[in-house]
Amino acid sequence: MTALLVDSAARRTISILLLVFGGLLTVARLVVELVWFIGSEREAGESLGIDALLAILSIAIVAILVGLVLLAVAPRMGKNFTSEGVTSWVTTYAVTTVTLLFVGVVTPFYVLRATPQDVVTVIVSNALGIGVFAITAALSGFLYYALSVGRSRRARVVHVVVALHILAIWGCSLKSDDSLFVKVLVVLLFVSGSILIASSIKRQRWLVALPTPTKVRLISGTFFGAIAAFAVFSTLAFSSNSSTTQSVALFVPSSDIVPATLNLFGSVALLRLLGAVIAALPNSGVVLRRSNEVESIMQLNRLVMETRNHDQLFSTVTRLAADVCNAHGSWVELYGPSGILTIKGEYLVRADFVQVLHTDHGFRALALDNDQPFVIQSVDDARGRRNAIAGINSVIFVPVIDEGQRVGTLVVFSTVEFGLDGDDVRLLTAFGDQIRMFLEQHRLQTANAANERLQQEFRVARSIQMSLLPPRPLRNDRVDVYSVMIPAHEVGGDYYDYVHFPNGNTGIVIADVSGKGIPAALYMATLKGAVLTAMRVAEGPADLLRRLNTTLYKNMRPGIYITMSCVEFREPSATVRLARAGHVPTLVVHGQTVSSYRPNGLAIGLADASVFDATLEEIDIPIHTGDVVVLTTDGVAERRNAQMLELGLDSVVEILASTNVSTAEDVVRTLLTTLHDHGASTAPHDDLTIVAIRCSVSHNLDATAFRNVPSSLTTIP
Amino acid sequence: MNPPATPFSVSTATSENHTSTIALHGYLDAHTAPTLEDEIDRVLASGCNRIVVDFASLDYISSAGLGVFMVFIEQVRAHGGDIKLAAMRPSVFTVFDLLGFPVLFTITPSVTEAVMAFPTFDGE
Repeated sequence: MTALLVDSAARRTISILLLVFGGLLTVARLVVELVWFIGSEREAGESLGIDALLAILSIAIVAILVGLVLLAVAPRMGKNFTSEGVTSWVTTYAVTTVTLLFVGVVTPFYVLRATPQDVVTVIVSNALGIGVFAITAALSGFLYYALSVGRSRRARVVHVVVALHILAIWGCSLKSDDSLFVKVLVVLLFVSGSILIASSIKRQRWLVALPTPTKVRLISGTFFGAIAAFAVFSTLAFSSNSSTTQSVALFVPSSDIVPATLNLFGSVALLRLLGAVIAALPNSGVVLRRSNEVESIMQLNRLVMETRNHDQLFSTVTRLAADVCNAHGSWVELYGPSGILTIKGEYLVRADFVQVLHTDHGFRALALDNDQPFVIQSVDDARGRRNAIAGINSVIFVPVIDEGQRVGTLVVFSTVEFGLDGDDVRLLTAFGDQIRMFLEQHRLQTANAANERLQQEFRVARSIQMSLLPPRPLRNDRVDVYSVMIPAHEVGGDYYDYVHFPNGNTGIVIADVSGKGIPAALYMATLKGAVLTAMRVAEGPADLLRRLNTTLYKNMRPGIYITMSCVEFREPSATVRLARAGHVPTLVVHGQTVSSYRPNGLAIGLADASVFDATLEEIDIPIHTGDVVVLTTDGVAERRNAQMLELGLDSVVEILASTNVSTAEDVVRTLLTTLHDHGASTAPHDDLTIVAIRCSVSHNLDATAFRNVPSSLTTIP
Repeated sequence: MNPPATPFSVSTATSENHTSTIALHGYLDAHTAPTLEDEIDRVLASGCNRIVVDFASLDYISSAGLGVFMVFIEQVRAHGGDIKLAAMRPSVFTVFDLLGFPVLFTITPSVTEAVMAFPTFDGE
């Protein structure tokens, strides 16, 4: 049933069916009356059957009317009034009612013993009867709806109470004795019902937001509706000889008090509504203004979120500001660095207008005078002389703030003195906040983009740095090299490389630039270049390091230094020649024995050639097949755990001694596992490099063969 | 993730023989090095270029921390002064030693020895 009422197509079908059926019933009733009363000249009361038939037809027609009203009201239940709905409904009601009453007045007839005497009376009385019941049903629908608006279902008990009132009044009217008690009771019921209805129609908040013209239409509509409803009530209640009253009594005997009561109550409801509209009338201007303010701020807010276009934002701000404040123009001026003034979003402002204003120092001072939004209601008063600036008679300045700095002003002006007030300042302050949000958001987005770019550059830098290292392990019948480098940040200052001495021997350098990150990485790249140059002429590890120090010492910032070790695999002497420039000791794993070598030497960049060269030592370490030379940077021994405890070189030695390592890769993996276990919960704080070289020595090998060791990885392109 | 916060502080006292002793506490690394730089700047600005650095309470020093002394040493020596390093724990000394600092700096076991290592002040 409810579903049927909700579905508009079904509702329409049912309504049409009801209308057709009601029309048929009406014609049937008309025919019965004409045949029985006029054709056969019978009287009411002669045949119980005919009387019953007429009554049943009447009640069926009234029921159909009620049904039609229910169908019309149902979809609106639970929703609020709309001004258009109320106005059109009440107007239709009033016009129909007045027409009915007019017809009743211009066609007087008198019905004796409840029997119409002529054809005209039959037709008119039926029309008036149905008409009165129709308008009453419609008014009842309105009443029912009005009593439901803004109330919970439980609170709708008021409907029952009103219905009980109507039933009680009807009951009283059926008592034939005209005792004073019954009359007083009926009047009391009228009064209490009216009070109940008047007090139950409340929460007409929808009225507040209506513009004045709409309210005026509502006032006239409800006023005439109430008058019409009251006219029907008084006709039915007090004028029992009128055609209208007689028609109602003919149509449904002894029932005229019911439409009378309903029209009275409807009239009260309409009057109550009229009162509410009149009460809400004075707010109209304020409400209109507030709703415009809210609408404009919402619009700005959306724009702030959606656009990144400054011009679009500023032109919208100025347009809305001028419109809502009823101002005559607006602009946003932005103060660039070195006092450059930019005008944005001029609204109703001539191009040269702002320039003219800014040649007026007084105006400039006014705009910049205050860091809070403020209004000058009368420019004359503010300047103490009769001289409005270029027609600006009242003006509001709203500072535009970005990052806590005054970066501009939103200017809104009126050509009318006292044309702008504190209320406008309040709104424009909110506008200023929106501009601030926009600028903030814009800045964050820009910063975000810059950050993204930086991240991207870091990734590129990292891959470039990795490409500065040997691309693949060096492996031949002399050496098997395995290495790893892990920067603490995206890039780092660690470096290792294979070198190819002029004497044909292969060597390996490992280095660690002091510091971390980009500065260290830049020096690392410089170092690579220096190594490539120096190795072409270097006689051995120590000579290479001396050359590097001589080249780099003067070109490094004070406080930056490079520690470095260089090993040269010397064949056929079965030794490794080692020089160390302040670097961590070199380890040689020989079975279960691990030896640590640290010949003297200053870090590169600490001292000039005289001191550096004199200090630097070079040692030869005998090696055997299967020995592994381990070069690391201090990121290994100094790897800290959560307690800031360093791993320590002694632990590294111990681990290598206790683990049965046979390949270069074994050594690197063992150390990485140890480092991982030691510092599991902490991120590495320093760059970390391990280079392990497993040596093979053959005393029978001819020296030329060793010279042909492929070490092309570091050859100069 | 960055290394844990490294509490670091310096305090300066004027010692005999017209020297200033800068005592280091905690962790001296890239984050805290500027504090030490500022302190040395301040001491030099006060006209004193005979500086003893007391390492007794220093727990850790990184490469950036070491660099601080390199930044100032040339300037200080050019003015006839010196920076002497004293009272290092073995772990800290190892770092200096590996880099070859003993060749470049006077490193003494105690602050007193460092102070005395300066030539008698000639009232310049």
